[in-house]
Amino acid sequence: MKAALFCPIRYNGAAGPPGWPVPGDVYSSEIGQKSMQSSMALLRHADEVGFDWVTVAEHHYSPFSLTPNPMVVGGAMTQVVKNAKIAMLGATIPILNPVRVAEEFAMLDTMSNGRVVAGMFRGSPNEYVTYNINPAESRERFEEALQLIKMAWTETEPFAWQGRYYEYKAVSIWPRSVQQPHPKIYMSGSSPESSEFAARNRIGLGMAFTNVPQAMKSVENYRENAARFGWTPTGDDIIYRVIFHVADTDEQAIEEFSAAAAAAPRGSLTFANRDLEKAVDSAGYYGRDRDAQRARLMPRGLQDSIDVGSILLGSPDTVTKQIERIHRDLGAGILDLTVAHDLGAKTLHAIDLMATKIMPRVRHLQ
Amino acid sequence: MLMTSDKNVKLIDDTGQGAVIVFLRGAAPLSKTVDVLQNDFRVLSFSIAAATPATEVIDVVTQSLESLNVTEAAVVADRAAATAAVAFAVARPELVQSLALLSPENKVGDVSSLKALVLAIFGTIDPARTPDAPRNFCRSIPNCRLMYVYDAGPAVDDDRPEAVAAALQEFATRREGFLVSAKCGKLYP
Repeated sequence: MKAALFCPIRYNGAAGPPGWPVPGDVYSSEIGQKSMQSSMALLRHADEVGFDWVTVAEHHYSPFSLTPNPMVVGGAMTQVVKNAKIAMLGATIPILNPVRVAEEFAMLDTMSNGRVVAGMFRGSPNEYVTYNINPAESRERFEEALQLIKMAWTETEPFAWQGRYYEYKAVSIWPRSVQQPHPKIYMSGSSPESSEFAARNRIGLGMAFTNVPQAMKSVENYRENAARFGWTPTGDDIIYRVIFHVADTDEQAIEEFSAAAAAAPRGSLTFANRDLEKAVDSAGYYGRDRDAQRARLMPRGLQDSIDVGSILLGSPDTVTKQIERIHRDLGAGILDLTVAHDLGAKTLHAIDLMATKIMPRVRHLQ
Repeated sequence: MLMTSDKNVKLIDDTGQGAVIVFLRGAAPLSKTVDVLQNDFRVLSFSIAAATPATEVIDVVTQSLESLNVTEAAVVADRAAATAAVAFAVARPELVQSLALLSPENKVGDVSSLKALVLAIFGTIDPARTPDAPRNFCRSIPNCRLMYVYDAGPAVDDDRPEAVAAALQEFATRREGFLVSAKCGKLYP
């Protein structure tokens, strides 16, 4: 099993009442700069203590994450993260220019000497407002954009693209990726449609903002469909993103995490604006198991989150057992460990405990 | 006007008005793309029987165009007619303003003296084709541009007629200039 550190690069300051989009009048550039510097330090530290991957994601218009373009952070990471793979989990490709995405991934792969992991996600429902893209087109845009990106990476003859949603008269990207034919691709796969698509196209499966029971359904669907298409996913094909905090004792970990959660409630990006979420829902965004998809995105209490495997929390012994359970149930080979609250030295300590006390005991799990 | 010129090479459809597109097909039915193209072009569709000598195609198509007072045309050919279309473009460069080939196979005859700008159009779904086949094809043709039509198979013009028609329309009208967008991006005045 491999460990990734996911840092949303959260704004570590007061952000006013919950909602989305969040007005910018409460934003402090000083806090924003410190938040980014602190998060970059966490990612650099994770690399130094032996994490396999470091991860950033794309989110917009909110203090939840200060990385509307994860590629920019990825570029910075190529210069300070020396060994770990640098995972963009992901670019929200249905709302972006796919050729630009292909170019940026190739740039990052070149700058990192071939260490980039290419996450292609649909994003959270609210993201579709960001660049005025109809969420009803989300899946079709995703599928076409992904194929176009792969073509941009692999086709060395300049080509035109006559798509349904995208049209280009000449594509010929420079630089080309170091990893050939292209960086490993993961896509969000929490819905049945997504896990089927991932299996059909031999793409890695990434699950975020979910829980183990729901993820088990996705993984089972993924494996069944992969078999249908003649291949068998390994642990490296499955990423499970999960919030974590580790301290020397269970009590300390819970106390630290609870205090941070009370001071800065994390909430749900998806449900921060209920009217908006309803509108996206009515566009058919969630797909055929809509109720389950909405349910997995609903906020839960702390103990419930721990019980369903959405949060790893406790001492090294406790968290080791929680990870073993996740592996037993999912067969996930990559844990994308999420820093929900940047607690400075306490978070650095949690990263150290994960690297020195926990990962050596679970690394053998495949 | 509909006329039959030859038992192997037949003018099967003459529709629309405007600049002329000559559509060379194998024995397949009329392309669905024609339904779209006829709104802006005069489209002359020829069917060509299998194994028809290229010289016969050149003669019959040339005579047909002369009889219709057509002095220049953009030529489009499906896979089965690609070799004949290339031969026609080589033989009658003054007539052929541009040449678009739909899902062509590797060999399309002697292209060394081909003058026309070529657009080679491939669907993204073709299990029988190797990924490098479109690239290799384009590199074997002088002045060839490569286009992929998303979610289309070998019968690219029937799978995505509107998409192919839009490409043919721009290429026939603007030739190399088709690389530069001429679409209006303004949303509101």
